Amino acid sequence: MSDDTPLVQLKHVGKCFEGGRGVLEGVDLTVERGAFVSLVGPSGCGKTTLLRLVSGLSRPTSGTVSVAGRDPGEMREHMAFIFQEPCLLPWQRLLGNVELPNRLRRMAPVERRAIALRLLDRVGLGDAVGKYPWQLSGGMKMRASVARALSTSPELLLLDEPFASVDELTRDRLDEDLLRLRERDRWTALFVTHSVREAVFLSSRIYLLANTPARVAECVTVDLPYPRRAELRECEEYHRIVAKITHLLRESADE
Amino acid sequence: MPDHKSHSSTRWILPLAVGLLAVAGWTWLIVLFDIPAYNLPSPLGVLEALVAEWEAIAKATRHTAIEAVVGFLAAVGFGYFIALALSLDARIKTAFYPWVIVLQMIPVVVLAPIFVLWLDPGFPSVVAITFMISFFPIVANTVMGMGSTDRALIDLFRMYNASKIQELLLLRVPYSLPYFMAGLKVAGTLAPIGALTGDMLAGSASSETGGLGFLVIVYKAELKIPALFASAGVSCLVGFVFVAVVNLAHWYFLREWHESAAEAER
Repeated sequence: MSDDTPLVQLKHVGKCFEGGRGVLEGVDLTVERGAFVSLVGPSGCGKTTLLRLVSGLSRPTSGTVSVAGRDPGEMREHMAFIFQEPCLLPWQRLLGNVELPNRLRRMAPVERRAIALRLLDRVGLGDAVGKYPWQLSGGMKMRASVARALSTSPELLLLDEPFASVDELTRDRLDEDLLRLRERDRWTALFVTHSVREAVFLSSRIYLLANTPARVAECVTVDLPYPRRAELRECEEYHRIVAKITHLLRESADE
Repeated sequence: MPDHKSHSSTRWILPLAVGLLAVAGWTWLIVLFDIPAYNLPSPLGVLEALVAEWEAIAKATRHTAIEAVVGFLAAVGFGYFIALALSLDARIKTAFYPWVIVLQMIPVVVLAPIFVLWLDPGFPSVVAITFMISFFPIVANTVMGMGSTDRALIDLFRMYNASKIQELLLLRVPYSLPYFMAGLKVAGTLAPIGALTGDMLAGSASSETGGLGFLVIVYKAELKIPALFASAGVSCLVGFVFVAVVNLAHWYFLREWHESAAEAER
């Protein structure tokens, strides 16, 4: 694969569920290598469906989805999916949970354990490796989920409203930490959220989805330099973009 | 938690008090209405009978307990194996599961003579009846547990290209453990009942190898009513021990992560 092929490309993608309910229609979307792209739109508009198409967990009814120019199913080992819920195995301690992906790939126990320990440390859970999920707060569980996703060193991270269920302050912290984690490994991200603030803070580009079945209503480039820190949320330019996108979102909803 | 501590002592005292009251009431009723021992023996009479008939009761109890344990273990092993097989593929489940349910519908009283015919009366027939009665809750609960595995977790496993076997062993089996344990509890209460019923319907009719169910029939025929009550009491005890052991297993396997077993620590 040559490096100028976009990592993710959707061409005229449509998706209907059984019974003919259309969720997506004619969606064109591109994610370049190293980009942080967010999908924003009202709840239930098909953002999650789109993410599942990119992961290969679900197939489009029309159009094509490709990852690095290939079928998403073939590219799974270069991807990781962070779900809305932490999705930790309740019978495994944190260490076991973060080891899971590499265990499924039959990596030697010593090796996968070392990776899991390092990542748990990086997400700030170094002291909680022996804990069970029920012993952790929502934010900690999400951190563990992030560590698990990074354990296979993915090129592409798919995130489905990962921090939607934690309080706003925790969410801001998690967003900042997510960017900090990315500074080192430079993975590409496709991030689904309904929070415009969150999308602007994280992304280099934002796709707005609207209508049923959903289409891309607008695509906005966020020209704010990385690395981004918490202070960004106080800068004027950030607020201007948030306001602009909120306005666009409202317009496309009214159409 | 001090709150929990006071709670646990009342947990023993209250039922004990109710039990003692019941025994007192029982004795009082007999004295008040002058009930003859062949209708309702006094608690003391039952104890005396237990001591007098101890040898026979102990022997019969041992037989029934062994039948119950063997039948129960067979049901657990085979039931779990069937549940695993049914969960491997949706088509297998669709094809076979209805027949497992139909098998369960056949009443034990009908099965007993068939087992006697095939296996001869005594130990093998009683074990077979115990097995039949405790097999279904294990299968039904485990199948339900494996079938209700969180969709998101299955997606997670699919994202990492997990094999069918990995998905079964690392996800569905542990996920269904609490369900399996619930089935185990039901089967654990049914197994002693199955063994006792088996004793009556298809058990050995010798004083050497007969179980508690047989002894109950004998005592009834001989009108040894206090001894009948004593063997009923011992049957209760067998069932109680069974349930206690299963509950202990439940606690042991789930204590660290499942709410049903770890409640006190949270």
